[in-house]
Amino acid sequence: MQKKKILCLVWALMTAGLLIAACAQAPKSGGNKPVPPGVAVAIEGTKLKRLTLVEQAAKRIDLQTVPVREEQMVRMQKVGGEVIAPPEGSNKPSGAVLVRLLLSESDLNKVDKTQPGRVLTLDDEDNDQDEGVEAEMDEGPADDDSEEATSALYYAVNGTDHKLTPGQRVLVALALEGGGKRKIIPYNAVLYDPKGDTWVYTNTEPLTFVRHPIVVDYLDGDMAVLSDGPAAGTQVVTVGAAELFGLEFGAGK
Amino acid sequence: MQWIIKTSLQYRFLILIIAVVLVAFGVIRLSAMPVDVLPEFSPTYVEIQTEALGLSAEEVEALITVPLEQDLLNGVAWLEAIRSESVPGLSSIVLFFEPGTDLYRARQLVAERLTQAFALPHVSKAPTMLQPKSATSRVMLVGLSSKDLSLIQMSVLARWTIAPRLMGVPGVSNVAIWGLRDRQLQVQVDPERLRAHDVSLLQVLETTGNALWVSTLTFLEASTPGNAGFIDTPQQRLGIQHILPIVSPEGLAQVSVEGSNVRLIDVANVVEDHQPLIGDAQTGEGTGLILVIDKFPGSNTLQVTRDLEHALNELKPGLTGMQVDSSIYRPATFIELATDNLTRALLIGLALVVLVLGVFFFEWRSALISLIAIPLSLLAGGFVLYLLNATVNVMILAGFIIAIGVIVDDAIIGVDNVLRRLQYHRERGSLKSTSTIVFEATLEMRNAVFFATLIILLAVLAVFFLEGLAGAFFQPLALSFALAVLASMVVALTVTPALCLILMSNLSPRHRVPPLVRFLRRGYRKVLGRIAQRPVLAFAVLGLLLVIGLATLPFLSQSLLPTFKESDLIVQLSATPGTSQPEMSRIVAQVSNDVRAIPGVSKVGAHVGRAIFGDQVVGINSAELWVNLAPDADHSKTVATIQSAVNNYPGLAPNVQTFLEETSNPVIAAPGDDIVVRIYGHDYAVLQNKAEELKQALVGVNGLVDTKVTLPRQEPTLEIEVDLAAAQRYGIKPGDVRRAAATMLNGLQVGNLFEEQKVFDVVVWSTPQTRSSLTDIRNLLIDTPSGERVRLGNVAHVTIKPVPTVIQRENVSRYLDVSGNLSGRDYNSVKGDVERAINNVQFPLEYHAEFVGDYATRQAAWQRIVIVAAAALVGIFLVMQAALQSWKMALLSFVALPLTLVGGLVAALVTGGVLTFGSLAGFLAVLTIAVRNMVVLLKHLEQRQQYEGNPFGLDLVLHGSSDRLAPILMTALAVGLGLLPMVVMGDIPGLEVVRPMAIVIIGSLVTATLVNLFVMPTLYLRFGKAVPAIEPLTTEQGIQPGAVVP
Repeated sequence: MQKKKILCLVWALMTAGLLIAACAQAPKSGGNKPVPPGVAVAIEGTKLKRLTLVEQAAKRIDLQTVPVREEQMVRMQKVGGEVIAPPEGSNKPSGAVLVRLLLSESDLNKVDKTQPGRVLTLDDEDNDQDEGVEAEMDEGPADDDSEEATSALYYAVNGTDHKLTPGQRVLVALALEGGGKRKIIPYNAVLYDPKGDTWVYTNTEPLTFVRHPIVVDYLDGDMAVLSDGPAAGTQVVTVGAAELFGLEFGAGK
Repeated sequence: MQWIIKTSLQYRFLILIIAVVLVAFGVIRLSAMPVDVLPEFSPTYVEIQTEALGLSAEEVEALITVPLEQDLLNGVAWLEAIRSESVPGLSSIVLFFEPGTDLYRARQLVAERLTQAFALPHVSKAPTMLQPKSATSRVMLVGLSSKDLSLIQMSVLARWTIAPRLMGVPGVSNVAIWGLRDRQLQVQVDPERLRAHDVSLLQVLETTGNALWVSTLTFLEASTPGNAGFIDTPQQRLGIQHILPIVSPEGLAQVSVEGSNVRLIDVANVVEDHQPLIGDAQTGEGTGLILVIDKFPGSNTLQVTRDLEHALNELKPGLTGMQVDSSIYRPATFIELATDNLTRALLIGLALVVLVLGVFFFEWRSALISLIAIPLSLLAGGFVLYLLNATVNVMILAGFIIAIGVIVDDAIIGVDNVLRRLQYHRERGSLKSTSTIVFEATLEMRNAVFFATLIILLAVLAVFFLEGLAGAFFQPLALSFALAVLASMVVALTVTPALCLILMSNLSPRHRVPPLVRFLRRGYRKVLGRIAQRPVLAFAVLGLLLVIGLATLPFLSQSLLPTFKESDLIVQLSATPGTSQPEMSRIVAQVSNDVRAIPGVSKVGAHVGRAIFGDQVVGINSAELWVNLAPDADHSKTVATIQSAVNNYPGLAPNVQTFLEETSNPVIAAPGDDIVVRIYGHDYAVLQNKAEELKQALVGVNGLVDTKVTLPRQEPTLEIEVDLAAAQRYGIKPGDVRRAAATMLNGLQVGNLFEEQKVFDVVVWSTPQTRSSLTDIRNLLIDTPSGERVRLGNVAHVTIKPVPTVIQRENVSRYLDVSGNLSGRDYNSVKGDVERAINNVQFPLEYHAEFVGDYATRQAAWQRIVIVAAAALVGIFLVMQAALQSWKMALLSFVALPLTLVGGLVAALVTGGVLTFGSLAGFLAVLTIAVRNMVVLLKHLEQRQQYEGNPFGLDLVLHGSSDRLAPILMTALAVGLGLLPMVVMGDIPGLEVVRPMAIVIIGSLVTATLVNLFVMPTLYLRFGKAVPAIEPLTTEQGIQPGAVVP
């Protein structure tokens, strides 16, 4: 009897042990699944992805956008040159001087010969104000001894109050071809992909961003002048573009 | 062994003196031993870094890495693998040597090879072999910030005053400065002004170089400055010295340009500025500098930290206006805190042990002897480690704690048996001398314990067969364990008997058994009496334990190293490759400010990109935030908040971990894919092609899943390729274009300025407006021989192409991996199929494929360990049999042993369910105690029959077992209570490894004690053999016939 009782006790203990073990919670992390800061969903038919950010994520990276502007652009370039006296026999008013610029052929072709240039002395080259003196295109002396690949460009400065002396070195701000009504965006909106194509991130709906191809013609200071891009008025991302790039293409080593 | 005991008894006072000296020596010396958290687990390696500012990754590879690897470094003796990474501006080659190679010998051989490096093209600084670093390399991060000083001024102080002083601190191997802005005198040419004045770039270079004393450009006259000389007057010798009048940009600006009548100021801006940045740093006050200090292998973190702080304090008066913060990362804080907590836990435990011994022995002499023996063994073991120049780390500590069972048990049973024998003989009025009694008693115990010790040593045998990194981790543990066990044995053979003889000679013959023990024995005999005659119950208990044990297993998870409660975290951020430095600095500042605002965070410092001789071989798109948590912060909550805060940033791939995890992860993380085929070659396009082809071929292989090709990340890079025809028209050559463009875009160092015992670079560069966009680069003006200037875009194609961010090479070749995992079939058959597939792929000239990955070696190592473990198990069984002289008892003991550990499994489950290696060590510790108790108990029952005339039967079992009740309980309680404070004090720094150990030990002790006290006697009664009595002992020499003499 004693034996049976003890055996029963043992069996009870064993089953109890098994039950406890079965009920013991496996320590799993459970917890809330963290919300990702942004998702990238492929867009059908293209290689692009639609990026959607959580509002807090956009605030964290301080994301900013500006609209695409369309403006009348004049492409300016400063070229260094020398002031020379007008050649003998030219019918220039007294006091007038010529400015000679030595450019290569391909550069020469880019100059917009219809526009006047502005002559800046080297002292005030630092300030951006167009304080220079206006100068018009001129033919220049006939007996110009130019070499093969170089051509010289001449600008005439008329008037007597220009304070320029022959032999002085100056900079001439020229207008280049390719002006006109162009789309411009800040340069910090431009992203280069590894193959070299240029893109911006457009912000069409709130917190949604899609890459848009652009073609950059040239850069003017901080602004990029486009020959092709999103329509004027589209918001493009400036601050935070690199992070969106990382979201789309994957960050990390 | 007999001789040892006898001699110790004879020269007991000498032994005592030696023991005292050892204790004194130990206490003094050991407290000064270097302490660190982890052992040195990195393999022998040498790293060579070559800085080439402005060079792209591909050019670094072609011009620097390949010549170094192929011509100079490959084939060094004992080389196991040569790996390199070429990133923009840096070539890093790491040579791994065979395990066991002496580091300094390897460095010597590499240094011999590097003497040929002068032949490298002149595009970089000299290749440098980095100083050896500890596996947990960083010992301190120091942040420098200032409101009054500019970053350039701070950089000068950091580079010329602070860093050299800190490098002089013993134990420091390297000081790298993040965010360093080198003070440079820069002549920034304006191309249009050059054109206006008709001055060429070469004229500016020559002018600037020749204006100074020394130039590095060999085509300049200034490359041979000439020495001033001295004159002898009739009476005196006068030395001559030239003073450079150019000390500032203004001075240099007035120099007239060679071949022209203008000055440098007319064609360039002459300014003081810094070099292009490869990295940046942020302290709490914005952009600043961070000094990262590394230590030598085996150096003492605490001592080095103290010396560094002392050095910084000494420098402070000379650094007015600059804030120096040496607590951004200070691992010594964690070590100090951990040692404090651990010491406190051990002291409280010791007090509890004293209590247990006092209560059970009830006699101050025995308690004292035991109390002396325990720390003495530990000190002896520690002393040997000190002689071996070891560093105290968690592994060594764990080894000692595992041996604690052995040590305590040795101390207790020795003294207890002596006491018992003394009492026995005194009661019978024997005239035997105390010396003889002590001798016999000790010998009796040691005979029984000999077998147990052998079993324990066999059990740890497998560890010594671990190879590589696991071996580096666990061999210190096995070593310290073995040392402690041996030390304990030596102490038990020498000091304990000596002390017993000294102190117990005058033991009163009326000495009685302590009241507690008497009470316990009575109760025990009653319970045992009822159980002992029902072996079914014994089996039932064993079966119950088995079931419970198996039931807990699925709920337990494993993790090798515990999470150390360090107060420092690293947040790694990686933006997409090709992200700019201004953007990285901006976003890192954002994240830093965010993290700093979290309650519980006391400090945040960050470094972006690289530093010269730094340990980060990354691009500028990578950053690390070092977060310092307040000591009173809720650790896990703060970590979780930090994690969720950084996860909120898109496109940054954040990763939060501690520094110890970062360094040990590559070592202990789960290895990569099972099957890896590496295709070697030199063109990534071709490699990718072949990799895809191979991947297609592998699709059909049965048992291989998840096949993929690992491609390197690519970033956009501007490629300038000269159009030879166009260049010919203007009369210029590709080299001319490169040199001109390099000077304008990257700057060219033309000379040095020596000032105030410092050396500064003088650099010719271009104005920032000349080089800030793609258009600017196309518009760069290149001088032609005819004197005219042509735009770069007209003589070269300027395009953007993808280039790998990091070019990795292994064994002197580029490679791509095709990898997959095993599923369903075994490794060898899958490997055979894969090899056949490889043979079917046509590789062009210079390309080939190889099997890599350590799956095979891992399998072989695993097999080796399994064989050794199996052999050890067989050996243990045989030793058991030899000890117990009975196959049945040996088998039963063998089966019962693992079941004694079930209590530990339950305890682990109840307290979190995670088994770390500390828990496994705890199992081993209890195993040692259980084995000893089992063997000693059974041998004692045997000896009672042999020598005390107790015939086989219930009476023998009851009285023999109750003899052992006190020592078994004492050991269990001493160890259990000694480790209890560690459990009670909670999961605090310092106890991360020992607390799981203590939990498991306490839990297992419960089951082990129960099994030993109730199950084993029952089984012996049922299955044991009767042993014939032997003629009672001792001749006058004290030799026991029939005793085993080892």
